Amino acid sequence: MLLRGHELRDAGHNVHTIYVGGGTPTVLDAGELDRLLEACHRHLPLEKPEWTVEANPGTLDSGKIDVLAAFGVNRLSLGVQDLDDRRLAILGRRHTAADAWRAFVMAQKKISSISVDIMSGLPEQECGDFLNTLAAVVNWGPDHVSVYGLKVEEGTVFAEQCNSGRLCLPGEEEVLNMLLAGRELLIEQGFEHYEIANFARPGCAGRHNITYWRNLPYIGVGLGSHSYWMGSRTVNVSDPVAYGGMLMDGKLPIAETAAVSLRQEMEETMMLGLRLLEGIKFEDFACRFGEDLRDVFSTEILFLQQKKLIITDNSRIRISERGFPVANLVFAEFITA
Amino acid sequence: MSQENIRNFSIIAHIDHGKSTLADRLLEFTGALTQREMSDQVLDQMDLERERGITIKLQAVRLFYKAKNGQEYMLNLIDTPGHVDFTYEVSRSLAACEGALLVVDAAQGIEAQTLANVYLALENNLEIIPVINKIDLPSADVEKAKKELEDIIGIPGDEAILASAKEGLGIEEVLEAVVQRVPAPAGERSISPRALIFDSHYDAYRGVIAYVRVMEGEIKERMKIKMMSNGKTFEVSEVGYFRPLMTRSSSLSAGEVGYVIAGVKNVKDTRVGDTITSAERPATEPLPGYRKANPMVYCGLYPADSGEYEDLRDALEKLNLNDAALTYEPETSAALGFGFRCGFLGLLHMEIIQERLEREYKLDLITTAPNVVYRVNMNGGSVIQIDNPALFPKSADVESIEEPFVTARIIVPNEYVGAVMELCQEKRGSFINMEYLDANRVMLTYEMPLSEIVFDFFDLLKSRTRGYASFDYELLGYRAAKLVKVDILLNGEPVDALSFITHIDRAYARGRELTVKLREIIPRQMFEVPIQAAIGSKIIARESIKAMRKNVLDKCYGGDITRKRKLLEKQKAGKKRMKQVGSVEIPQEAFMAVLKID
Repeated sequence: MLLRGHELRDAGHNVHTIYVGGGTPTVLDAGELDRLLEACHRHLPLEKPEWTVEANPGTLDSGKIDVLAAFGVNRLSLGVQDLDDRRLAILGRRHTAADAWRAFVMAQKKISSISVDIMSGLPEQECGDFLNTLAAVVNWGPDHVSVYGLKVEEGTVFAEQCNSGRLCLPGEEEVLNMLLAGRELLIEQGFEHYEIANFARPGCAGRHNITYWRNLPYIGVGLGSHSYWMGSRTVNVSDPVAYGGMLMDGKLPIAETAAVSLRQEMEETMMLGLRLLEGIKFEDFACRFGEDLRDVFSTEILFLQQKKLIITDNSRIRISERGFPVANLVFAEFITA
Repeated sequence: MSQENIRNFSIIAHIDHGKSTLADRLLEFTGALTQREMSDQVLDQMDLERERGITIKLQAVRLFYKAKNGQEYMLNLIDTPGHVDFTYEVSRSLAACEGALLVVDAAQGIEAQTLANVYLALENNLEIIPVINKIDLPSADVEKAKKELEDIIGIPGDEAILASAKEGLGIEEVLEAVVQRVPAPAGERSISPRALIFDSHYDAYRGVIAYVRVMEGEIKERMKIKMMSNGKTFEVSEVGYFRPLMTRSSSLSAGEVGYVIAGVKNVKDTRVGDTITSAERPATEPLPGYRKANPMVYCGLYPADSGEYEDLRDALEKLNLNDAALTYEPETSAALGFGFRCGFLGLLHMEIIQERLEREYKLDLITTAPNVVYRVNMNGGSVIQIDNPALFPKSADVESIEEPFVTARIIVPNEYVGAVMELCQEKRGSFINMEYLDANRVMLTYEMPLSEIVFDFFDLLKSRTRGYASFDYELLGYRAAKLVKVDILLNGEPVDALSFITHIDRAYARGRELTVKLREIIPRQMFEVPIQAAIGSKIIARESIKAMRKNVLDKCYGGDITRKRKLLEKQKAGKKRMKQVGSVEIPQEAFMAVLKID
């Protein structure tokens, strides 16, 4: 952090957003959190940042919330996931629905913006269950909701249970219904669908994540974290001993570096920018690359327009309602192997 | 060298029984190559040959050997391909010899393909010298191999030479036997020349190089020669022999084996089996045995990228220069665009050509399922040959249909006889004979439609006998059969490249299996895609591919971007290998799916 802080200062950059994530930083006790957040203040050129911390309802208490608030954390991302205790247990979550609610209420008193994560496509979950969970959580008053589908990774115990039929996952059609009905519910409740998996009350979209989707630079600090900085994507070393060793030698603990070519940058700008429902402004693309995206990707755009998966108007290109459930097909068009 | 001291011989062996290794040892022993010059298995020059352990193109090499009787001998070794597809080439190279080494693996015994070639050698009146090879293997059973020689071929087992080419055992004994047992070539040296072409290859700088055995007379540099099948004349620019590298000499005379270069630009003018004679003093009769090798198996070859059509044509042209048995005609498919209908001697020949096109010419090909040539007797009395299912005439116009039948010989251990009989039955075979080769090996003879063998017979035979069966077939002739054309419709549109011809009793089952298979292979599209199988306008099977409803990456944050990009690249690469047929995207392997059913 110190090294990166110097780098930023030397280049005349300030930090506008911070996201403390990587699972559940709230497993740290209040004292450890204090040291971490204090270090951010000491080493980084902060400029009124949007400062988000990820939290697991099972590991949050009022002491930790006080520490977060005291250092200026103004956004909390709370992993509620579901309000069915049985399903939470199947997912291996240590918290219950009651824990989630208590954590939310506690945090709401001190932290101005709260986002909740909700999952769809869980074992034994029906569309009605999902909508009930969503409606109940929206009632608590979050200003931001992320909805993620469950992805079963092959080779895990969980996958084995699903394959053997001991866990029954909802089918694709059912999951799609959850997404579409959930989207409708949130929009009715005054949320804007601004990114494929993200909904926010007007003006409450997460600035930090928008950095990723606008394909702008960011710096990751910590084991195995990713950066996109000075035209390269890098990954930090994930072994703690090696990481510490490199820092002691005064080196950035980078394990992998991949330079991004101009063409790749254009493609990634499309792949990421189309995740935002407002899409990509032709003008922004032209300012950045000196070329009109309608020229660079003319055949791809024509193809996707014919399939009614994207929409273009005078100023921008965006994904259509028909396109967003199959967004991978849209993104893939812009990527060359 | 006097004719008395010339010996011409070839080696007959099953794949993997050690033919190439034995040839290498003979070269090494006689000093044709020093050990340093040898790469393993010198005679198999193509990479593909070495990888597959087979010989595709014939090779010939001249060895000099000082025998125990003190005399020097010229030994011409002519290598033969070991596969059924190339029977005609084998028979020509055997016709160029007076003797053959029959190599039998001491652990495996005699196999079906060996047998076929032994019969050819006997037909050509060759002296056969059995060599029991691989005697160093722990599983070697020399006595059993000897008994098989006696029982199956009728050669006294005691005549067999025991050898291990790998260990260099028995090599001198083999050379002595060639000198003592193989007769010297006959043939007047002073009369009009007649030379048998047993192979040829195209060299970019020198034109066609014909491999010949001079039977009578003499062929010299500057001589005017005539091809007896078509009467074309050429002037000889060079003659010589292989050592195994080409070595120039002033002439080739009766009894000798070597090469002739005569400014021939096209291998079609030096067809295997043709006779070369003198243009000025021609012989009256050609040597027996020229026939055109007819393709037995056809398939469509299409460039995956339609921009590579010209490249494919050039590559086929080049391969054809060296392989007159390969035929190709331009054809157009509504599904696959512009390509070629190619004819091959058999399945192995087809696979080899496909692999060479992809490997040596870097072409990305879409191959349609192979089929045989059908003879269709039309109502009006005319007869047409059909080598492409898409062109099959309407059943109302057809009087009857005939398909090629083969005699199939399968050698298999006892315990698999039941499994093989069942398989042959499924494949419309009729049982002809069963013969015990020894206490536990049996030779089964069946008559079967070639089309069933072209389907997946060989793979099934291997899997149902755990690889123990060996198999060979020869063409028997055409027989009437109740055949129908089955069309496949995707989204209501027939896909010409997926049509196939089958026996009417199998049509329903195959139609059903193929639609199921296609449902598995074709990825989901944005809309539901019905897959139908039809005979004429009658639908006999129906499946459908459900529409793709959801394909989205929910989470994509800073740490995910590289991984997601790779995922999309993969998705895109898969899509690139698909063919757009109407509104449906079909992966390339779908066009071979008809082979994967049963």
